[in-house]
Amino acid sequence: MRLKFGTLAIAAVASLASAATVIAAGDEAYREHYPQARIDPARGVNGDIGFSDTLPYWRNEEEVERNAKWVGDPNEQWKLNWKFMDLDRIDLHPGHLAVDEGEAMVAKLTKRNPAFFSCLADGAAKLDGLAAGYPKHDATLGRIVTVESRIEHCAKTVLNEDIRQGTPPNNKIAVYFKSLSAGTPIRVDIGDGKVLEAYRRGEKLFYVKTGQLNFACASCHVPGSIMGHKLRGETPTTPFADAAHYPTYRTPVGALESIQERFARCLGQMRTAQIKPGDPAFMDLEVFMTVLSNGYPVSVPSAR
Amino acid sequence: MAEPMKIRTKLVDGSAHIAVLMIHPMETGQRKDPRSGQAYPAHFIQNVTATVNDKAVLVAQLGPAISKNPLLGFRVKGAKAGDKLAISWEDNKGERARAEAAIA
Repeated sequence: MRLKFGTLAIAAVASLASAATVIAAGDEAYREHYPQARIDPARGVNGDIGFSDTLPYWRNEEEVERNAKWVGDPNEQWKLNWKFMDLDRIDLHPGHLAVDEGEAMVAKLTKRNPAFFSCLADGAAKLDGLAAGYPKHDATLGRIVTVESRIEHCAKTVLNEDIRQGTPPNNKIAVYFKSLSAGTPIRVDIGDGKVLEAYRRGEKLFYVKTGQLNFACASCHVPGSIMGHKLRGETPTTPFADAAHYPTYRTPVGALESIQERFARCLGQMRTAQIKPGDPAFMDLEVFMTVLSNGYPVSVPSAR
Repeated sequence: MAEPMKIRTKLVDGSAHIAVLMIHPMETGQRKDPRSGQAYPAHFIQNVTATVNDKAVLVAQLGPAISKNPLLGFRVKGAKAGDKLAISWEDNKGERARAEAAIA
């Protein structure tokens, strides 16, 4: 089994604090934190320089091609950050089928009500390139939206249909939506204050330890941790540019998986609280992860 | 479904690497509907033929052991860029599909 993200952590601190009025702020559940790695969000994917320093090996397809000799070498492969799997984009996997299915679904739903398409495109005439700007803060909704939550929202409000996040139909539409931005560098706008706030919350979640194993995402994915070393047959890699290829066809699972479903799977492996895709904590974490991919092209459809 | 097959070709050292993703349920006939207890009827691809410039280069007989949406990969020596590749399959219900592509 491939462990792409290794482990990710979510804290229940926020919900505890808000639910109990009698508990003073100082009585928040005690949490340990992994030491912060000081990532500068403004640098996007280039923040990996001085972090894991593997970016030069997988910066673009030519570099990955040049270092393809490392594939299969247990000591070197992790430096490619699994990006060699994206060289297979010309290859065939069921992710390509999902693009067609998603396209057909969007066409069908748009036929029922053209407002669905304009809701999905947020007023634009075409979906091309739009997915690279997600997640973003939607002023009218007053919250952070991801591609998946946009689809859920549009289906619910326009068609009164449930296409919930983390379900196969949602993933299919998301793969189609994102495939129209394939090759476009990700540009999450951290100039937006609300997005930056979500980034900071996500960053906090990245470092907070949780679960039976007392793991944080950072326990395996920052320099000085297990990153680049062995963890049960896997070698955890850098978190930079990892959001670029989701939703992806996961060969160990045999299904499409959105990034938030992947988070949920990580939480299971960390033996901690199970939360569902669409949870505010996952939204923040997705913002954090996607900002770390800023500047790296969207690589959908993909297989991992 | 938009198309019954997806085809990718690539010329490497004078031979064409061809990958075909066939869209098919490949039902074995062994699987049962948990509610009714009835077996789902078998539905799988039996014959696959690949031709390059109308000359058969691959004739395969598949069975129920092949997975859903099978991916078939093979190489054809001596194929040139622009050659016409055609893949066709027939399943046990007599359904047929055919797709064409130019080798690139």
